[in-house]
Amino acid sequence: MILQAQTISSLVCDELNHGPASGSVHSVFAGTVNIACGRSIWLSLHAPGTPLHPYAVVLGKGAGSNREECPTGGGAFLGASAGGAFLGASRGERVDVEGGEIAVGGGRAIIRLAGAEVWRPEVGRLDAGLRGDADGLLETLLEGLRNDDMASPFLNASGTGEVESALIHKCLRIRAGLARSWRRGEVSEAARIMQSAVGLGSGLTPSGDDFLTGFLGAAHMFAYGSGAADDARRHLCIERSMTTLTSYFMLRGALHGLLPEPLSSLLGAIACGRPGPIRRSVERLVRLGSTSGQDMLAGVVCYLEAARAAGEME
Amino acid sequence: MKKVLIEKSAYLDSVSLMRISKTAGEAAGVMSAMVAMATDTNVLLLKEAGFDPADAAGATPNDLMIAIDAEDEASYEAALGVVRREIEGGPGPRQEAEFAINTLEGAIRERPDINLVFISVPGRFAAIEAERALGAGKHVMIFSDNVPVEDEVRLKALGRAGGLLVMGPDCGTAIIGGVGLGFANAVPRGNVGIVSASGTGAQEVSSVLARLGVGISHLIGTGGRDVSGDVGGVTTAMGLKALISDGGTGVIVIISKVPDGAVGDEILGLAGRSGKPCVVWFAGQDARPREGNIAFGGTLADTARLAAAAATQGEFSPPSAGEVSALLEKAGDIPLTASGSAGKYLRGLFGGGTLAQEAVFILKEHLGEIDTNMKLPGTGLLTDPSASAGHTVVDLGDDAFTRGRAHPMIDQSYKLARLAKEFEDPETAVVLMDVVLGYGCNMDPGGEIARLLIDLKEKHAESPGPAVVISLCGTHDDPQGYARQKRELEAAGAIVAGTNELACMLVEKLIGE
Repeated sequence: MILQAQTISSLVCDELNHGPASGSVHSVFAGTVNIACGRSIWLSLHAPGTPLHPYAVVLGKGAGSNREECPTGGGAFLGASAGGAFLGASRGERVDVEGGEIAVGGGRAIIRLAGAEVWRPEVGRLDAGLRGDADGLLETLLEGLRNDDMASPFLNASGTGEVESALIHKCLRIRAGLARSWRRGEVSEAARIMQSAVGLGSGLTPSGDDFLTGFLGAAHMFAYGSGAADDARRHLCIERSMTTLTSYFMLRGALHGLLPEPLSSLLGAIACGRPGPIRRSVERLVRLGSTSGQDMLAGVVCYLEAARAAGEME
Repeated sequence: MKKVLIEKSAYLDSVSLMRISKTAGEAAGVMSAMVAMATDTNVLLLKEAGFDPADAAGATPNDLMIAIDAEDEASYEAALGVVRREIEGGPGPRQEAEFAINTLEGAIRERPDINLVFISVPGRFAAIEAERALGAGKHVMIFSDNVPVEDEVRLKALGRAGGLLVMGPDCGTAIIGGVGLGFANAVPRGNVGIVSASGTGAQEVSSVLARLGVGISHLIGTGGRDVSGDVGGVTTAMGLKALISDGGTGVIVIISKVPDGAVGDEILGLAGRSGKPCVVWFAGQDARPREGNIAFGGTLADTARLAAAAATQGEFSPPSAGEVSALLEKAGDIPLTASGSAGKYLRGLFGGGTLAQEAVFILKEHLGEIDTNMKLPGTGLLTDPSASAGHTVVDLGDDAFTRGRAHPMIDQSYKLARLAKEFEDPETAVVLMDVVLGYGCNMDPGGEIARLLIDLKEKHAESPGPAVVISLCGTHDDPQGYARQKRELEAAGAIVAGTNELACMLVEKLIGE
């Protein structure tokens, strides 16, 4: 099976420029195969669509890779649970990356990278911070959170069972504490609270990591002028032993403003300040995974609430 | 007992993990369960919840952690078995590949002959999918709620222009050509057609009809807002016209909250010109005499009996006081409030919004002021719907209770927790609850309530506790088994009424004693 990549993250290009690499399949879902090559290379091979991970390689339609037609297609990264293993891959299978190709399972599936569009996952940075009608912006975002089907522990006020209740309680405490310390400019305290969210909750990207990705992404984009985002990054210590591998690479990207595409789209829409694109971006983001998109949105809202209270927004 | 088990180098996606945690948490004798990746933070969370972190020693974030808090070893093992079966057999990476249709376009391509699309996606996406379906020339049923009214107006205008029905948004129940959609009961085919702006209202009427031996031709849901001035009763009118021209429909039933004035006039005008016997129930309306071919039901059960009488050309017979006495007599030695507890208030816990409304309308005449979380004329609005005050009736299907969890007709966890709370409140005289059966509903709602009642009665053996009255909506052919549900509830000491109206009459009697 020979497949053509449609889109590749610039991070993947950078890593592959260092020469041939070998690794193995880390995890397989209905629409994604995650691959770990050594300690620094991570590849998320997605079915056709949007890059959902900073280290994404999105496959093109045709050659059996179309989700609709392919018997192994369907679902998406970060949580969809449709049946089937994408590309027919299995965990631990060998992967070789060389000469502009990714060979899975000793060449059983080959992904050609040449000719693919390069996607830059880094969001921009606004020197002057966020400008616009702060109340209006937040109201538009909060509309997305007030709607139905919110299962994120960062948004939910009640849980059934002791463990779920403890998780929700902890998440809400983190959300409130982080907003408070950021508002007061207590960067080291904010970093300590962020640290306590790493790896928290269920999922292959735990809720706490998704929430942090949203918060860090927003801070990267809007707090550049104050230097607070860079300060926070210096205080934060995120190691691969703290969370799942796929989540570790996502968080590592988020620290530097490298984000899943639906999240960077939302931040871009917020920077423009127009309600229509913001609403559409919220709709796309909350579709991500079971709660991943919701958790990221909660992180963005947490940042904006703190920034507004701190007077960073006009 | 609280135990943590580690599955080395295992992983599942978030959707599967949440589903498995929920399934295990609902197993008998299980207080709480969490299946998550074994990150340090999650291990710490379990420690805070009283688990022993030593159980997770040596685990890494890429291992799966199964934490179960169970009453005893047997319950723990049973729950662990549930988790293992779910992990092994549930949808996920370990399952064999299957062909899956992921989009509406794909489904239409696969089966172009399908003429109705059922939409159940988060509300914000429903209008997009509905518009696609209408564009493809399909009728639409929108189960989703939280769809803006301006979208509903637009979609219904599109549908009307193309001669396509738009049932919903927030349309919980329909039966088209004998096929139940959403929450629908197993009812026989027959000659009564129903147009309904209320899901549980339609279930109550169709179930009572079925138990009277009368079947349904079609049940067309419209969504609760259809009869508002904004929407203009578009689907109600189209549904009504469809039933008027349907040769298999001999009697028409219209179920709705009180419509906007002009909309109501149009509906009654159409019904009056239909040439068929019609029975109308507008929630909360005062008793109204027959107008030509239109009879007005005072309650949902009344509406069903009127329709049955018209369909069979039989006699209409209202419920008698004897039915109430017989039920109380059958309840026998149930320790009723009047004989022991100091409680004096009604606590109504409903999953069905229309059944809750009907209970308030029936009971407020007898009980006086009732506080609710529904905006109804002549009632007080609860400031905190999670806490009862005086006579209280709560619609647990309201958004405030369903955010992040399934509707109480599917997931009764909050309803059960609330039952325990009301049962233990010394001010409670009677707990009134609905149990709604049918496709799509919880598979053992009566059994879950019965088991909790038995536990509560054991725990409070020294006090009589409040009476528990159940309004049981369903048919003998429903997958949950009407007789079995009734039997289990009665064995646990509940008084079970076959209609909401009868349940309310029982409450009047009990509180009045």
